[in-house]
Amino acid sequence: MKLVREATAGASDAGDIIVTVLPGSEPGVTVELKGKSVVLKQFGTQMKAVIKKTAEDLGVESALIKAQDNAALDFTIRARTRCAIERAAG
Amino acid sequence: MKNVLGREFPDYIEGYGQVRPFTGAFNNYGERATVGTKRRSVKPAHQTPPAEEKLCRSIDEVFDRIGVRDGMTFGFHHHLRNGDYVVNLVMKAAAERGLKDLHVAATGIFGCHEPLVEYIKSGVITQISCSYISPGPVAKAITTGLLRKPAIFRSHGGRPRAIESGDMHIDVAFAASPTCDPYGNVNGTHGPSACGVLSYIFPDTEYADYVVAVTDNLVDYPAPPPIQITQDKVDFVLVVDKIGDPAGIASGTTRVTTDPIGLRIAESAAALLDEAGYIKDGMSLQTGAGGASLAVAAFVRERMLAKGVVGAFGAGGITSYFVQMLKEGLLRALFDVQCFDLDSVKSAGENPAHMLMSGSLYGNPHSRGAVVNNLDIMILGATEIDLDFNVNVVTGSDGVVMGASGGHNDCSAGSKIAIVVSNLLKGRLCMVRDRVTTVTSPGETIDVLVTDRGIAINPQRQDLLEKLQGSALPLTDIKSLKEFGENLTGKPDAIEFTDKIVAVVEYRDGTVIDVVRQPK
Repeated sequence: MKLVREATAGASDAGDIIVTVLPGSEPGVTVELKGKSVVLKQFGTQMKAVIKKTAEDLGVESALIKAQDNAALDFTIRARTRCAIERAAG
Repeated sequence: MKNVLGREFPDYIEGYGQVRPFTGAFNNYGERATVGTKRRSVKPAHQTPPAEEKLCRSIDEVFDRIGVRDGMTFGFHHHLRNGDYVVNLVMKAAAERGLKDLHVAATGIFGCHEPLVEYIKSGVITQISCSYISPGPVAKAITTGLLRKPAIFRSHGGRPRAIESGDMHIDVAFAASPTCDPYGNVNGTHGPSACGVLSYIFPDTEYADYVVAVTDNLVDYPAPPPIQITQDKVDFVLVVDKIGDPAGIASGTTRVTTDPIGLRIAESAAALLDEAGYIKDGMSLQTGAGGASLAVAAFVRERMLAKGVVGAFGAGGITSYFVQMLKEGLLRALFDVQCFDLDSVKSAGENPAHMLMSGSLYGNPHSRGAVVNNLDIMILGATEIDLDFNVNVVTGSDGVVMGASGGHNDCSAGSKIAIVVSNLLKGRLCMVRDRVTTVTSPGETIDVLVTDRGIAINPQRQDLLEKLQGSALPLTDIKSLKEFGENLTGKPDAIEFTDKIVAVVEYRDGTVIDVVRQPK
């Protein structure tokens, strides 16, 4: 899947995450994750992996994904990531 | 060494001393001695020159007359909560005099005490001991190891025990005094900074070398009733402009949660209490002031009304909800250690059945019997709980200090049934863990965990499990709750800690139940 524009999905509410997808300038999916340190310290690695895998499963070959987390669970992260990618894919 | 819960720490902790390890909640009772006290006697008024009168116009005058020096321990209480000016006022003056190495023995530390961080950095304060701390700048300073000595967290019953036994000597106690006369009679329920009962400062006023009543409302002798601290305990009366900010002292009325999940949890807890036979004439009840804990009281109240039950007493920090139950005749008395809202301040000042209790009367295990011993039902919160029902209320799961024992382990030990109510997931964190980050209350004193995803009963309570057989309540076991939660959140990565001990967590009997190490 080729991304053609920047797009965002999600919300800042508790339990949600804002995912912003930008077309990448080089191959590969890069994930930048921000949020509460108590969550990131314990789950940051897993959450980044979920975002990356969601993108790759959709066939994204090149993207920069920025995520602002407010303690979302994996199913929310997957849904927001997929939505942002489909919006970005035109 | 390792204590009985498998928590590891050195035998001797620098800045704390020799460690007595926790051996079990009910192992440390028997004959106990209390320490001697010093007092300065006062001549009759007609024999007292003006310079020797109790009334002081400046904190410097108080310091001069006491002869404050480096290394002293100052006692404070936290009934002015997040509106307290007294701690900052005293410590500012101490810093300006160039005092060093002071120990702030406050019963509670709030966000308003941020100025202490500077004094910690500059070595004016090298130790803090408290029973309650809110997440904020001072908690952060403790977590990051800025204090030269480890902080000491004691329960509300453990602090008076430490003072009475001589484990902690208070050199000077500062009693925030909402109304006071020139001879040191203190009333807490009247005046512009009225905060209700002054319970937590009583051990200090009994055992400190010097007691200073700090007031912004000096009245003619004698102060109006109810007088809580009497003149025979008070050396000096210091008059200041303001002892607190009423907006931070108490909210108007504490409200029950409106969160549907919180209400569902509370409703299950009340149903469990009813099915297990705890809602009956003569019952007693304590809850935390948090919206969900308080909601349990609301549902218990409905069941009491429906059954025509009259309870013996409500206890602990008192809210408008308990005041209402007292007024309705659903409870015969209240034992109050702290007024959480203006309704309870008013009630404490007017209603003789709304009784104050000292911290020692509340929870001291080495007294002739604390009120927690008479408690049937205790509703508690928890940050984390483990498979053995050990509870953490001191640190977040990232090791950051965000609370202290309060009355948690006093009440869980004393009550006939101690119920933890909580959402299973807090954000992305599952509150049931393999191992809690810091133990505050041992699992042997926690009977039930009620969550939105089911109820787990401590297997040690076979009697409860038998009583609830066939119940329609969503009973499960704690391991299943953990698995359910972790299926949603994933397994947390372990937090790494340095070897530096930043706080010592004492159990109520003075043994060490755990320590807090600085997170990496």
